[in-house]
Amino acid sequence: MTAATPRLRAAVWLAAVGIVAAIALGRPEPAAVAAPFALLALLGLERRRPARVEAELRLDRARAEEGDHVEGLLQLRSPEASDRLEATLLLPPGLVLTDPLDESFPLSTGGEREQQLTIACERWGAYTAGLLLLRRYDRLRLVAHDQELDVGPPLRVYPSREALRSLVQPAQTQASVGDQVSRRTGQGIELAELRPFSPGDDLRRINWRASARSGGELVVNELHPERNATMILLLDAFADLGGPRNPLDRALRAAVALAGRYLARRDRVGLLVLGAGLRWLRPGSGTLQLHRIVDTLLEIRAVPPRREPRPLHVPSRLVPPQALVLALSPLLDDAVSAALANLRSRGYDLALLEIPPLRYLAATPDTLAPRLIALERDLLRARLRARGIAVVEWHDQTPLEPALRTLEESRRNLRVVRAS
Amino acid sequence: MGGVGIVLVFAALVGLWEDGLVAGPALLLIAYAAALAVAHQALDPAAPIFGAGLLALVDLGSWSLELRESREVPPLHHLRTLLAVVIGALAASAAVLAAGELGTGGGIALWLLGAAAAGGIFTILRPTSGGRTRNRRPER
Repeated sequence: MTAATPRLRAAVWLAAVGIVAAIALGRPEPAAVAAPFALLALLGLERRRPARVEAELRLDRARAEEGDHVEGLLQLRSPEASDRLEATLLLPPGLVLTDPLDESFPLSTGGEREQQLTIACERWGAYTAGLLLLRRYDRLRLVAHDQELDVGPPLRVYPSREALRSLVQPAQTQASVGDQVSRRTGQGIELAELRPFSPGDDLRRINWRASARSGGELVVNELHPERNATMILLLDAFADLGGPRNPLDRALRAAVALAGRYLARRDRVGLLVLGAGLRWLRPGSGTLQLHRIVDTLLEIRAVPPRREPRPLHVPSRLVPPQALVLALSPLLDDAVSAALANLRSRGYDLALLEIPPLRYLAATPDTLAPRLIALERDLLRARLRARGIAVVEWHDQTPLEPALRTLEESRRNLRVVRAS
Repeated sequence: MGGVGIVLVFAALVGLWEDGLVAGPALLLIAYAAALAVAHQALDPAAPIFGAGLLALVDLGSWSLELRESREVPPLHHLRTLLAVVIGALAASAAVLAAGELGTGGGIALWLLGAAAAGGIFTILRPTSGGRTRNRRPER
C-alpha cells in the first residue's frame, strides 16, 4: 500500500492554496511561494510502485520447548535505495521477541541488513511464520510504501513435560520385552513364587536355601518376565468453550508427559484424537514415536462440543487388543462418553482422567446452573464407573502425578469389586 | 490569521492535532497573500524566502513528529537533504517570481512554457494512475 506522508499532504494543500490565492489576487507572489510545494507534490505523486524488499528469518533450530529462547537472524535485502526503512516484526501469540524489532534505518541499492533476534517461546504450538511490517520512505519522505511479509521457518514449541514417577499400569502386557513386570510367570528377574522342582526345569532356577528348608525336596523359583505394554492415549478435542483457554491445553500437556514416560520405559504408545475428525497414530516405541506424537498433538485444535452429536465409532483396528486406553477428556460431548462406554463394552482396558470443564465456563459459582451441571456430571461419571471404567477428576490445582495415583487406585478397587 | 497558523503548527508539534502541520502553514500562506492584497506594493522580492521558509517549517515539523515516534533517523543525512530542498525551493520560487515579473500580457513564449508544463504533468501522472499499490496481502 502506498500512503502520503504529512509532508506530501502539506505540499498538495499549500500548492493549491498558493495557486488559488495567486489567481484571486492576480499577483505572482503566492504562486512563487506555492511553486516549491507544487514541485514536491508532483514528485510525490510521480513515485511509482517500488521493488519489493526481500526478507528472510533464519532460526537456529526448528524445535524448542516452552521457556526456551531461540536465536534468529533477520536478513533484509532491498533492490532499491530507501532513505528510511521502518521494520516491525510481529510474531504469533505464544512467541515473544526479547528485544522488540521496531526500528528505522536507511538501506542503499542492493544493500543488506542483518538483525539478530531472540525469540522467547512462551507457549507450546506449531508456529509457521511471523509477520514483518515494512514501511519505506523515498528520499524526500513524501510517500510511504507499506509491505507485509511472512517470514520465518516453521517452529515447533513442545510443551514442557511434567516429571512422572508413577503411571497407570495396564492390566495386561504384550509379548515383547520391556520394563513392566508381567503378571504371568516365565523368564525374568522378579520373583513370583516358589514351586516344587519338576523334570525339565532349569537347574539354575533351583532355590537351594528354600530346598534345604523343605526337607530334601527341591524347590525352584518362578519368575515374572519383564514385558512391555501398549498404551493408547485418547484425547477428546471437543473442548472449545469459547474462552481463551480450554481443557484441551491441560490434556495435551498431560498426554506429552505420559507419552514421554511410557516410552521411556520401553512401552509402545499410540494416539487417538476424537475431534472434528478421527486422528490416530499407531502404537510405536522410541524417541521418534515421541516426536511423532508431540508433532501430532501440536496440530490438534479444540472444537466446540456438538448439540446433537453423531455417534463416534472407534474402529477395533486402531486399538490393539490388551492395550490400555487412557482417555483425557472434559466429557462435554455425549458422543465421546458413548464411545468410551462402547470401547469398554468391547473388552478394552480403559481409564479416564476427566478434566473438569466448569472452571473454564464464565458462570458464577453461586448460581443454580453450575450446580445442576455438576450433578449431571456426577451422574455421568457414575454411569461410566458402572461400566467398569475408572474415572478420576483431575482438578486444576492438582499435579498430574497424584491424579494418576488416584486413577491407579481406582482401577485396583474396580478390579477387586469385579473379582468379588 | 498568521497567529492562528502558528498556534496550529505548535498544536501539531505538541501532538494535539497532527493536521495542524498542514492547516497552520496554509493559514500563514493565506495571511501572506492577504497582506500583499492590503499593501498594494509592486512586487515582493521576499516571496521566495517566505516560500523556502514555509517549506523548511513543514519539513522540520514533520521531522519532529517522526522523532517523537522514537525512530532513529541519521540527522546529518536528513539535514543535507533538507538543505538541498530549501535551495531548490528558493530557485523554483525565484523562477516563478521572475516569470511573473515578465508581465501578464502573455505571448507565444509563455504559451509554449505553459503547454510544456501541462504536458510534463500529464507525463508524470500517467504511469502513477495504473501503478499505485493497493492494500492487499502479498502473494505467498
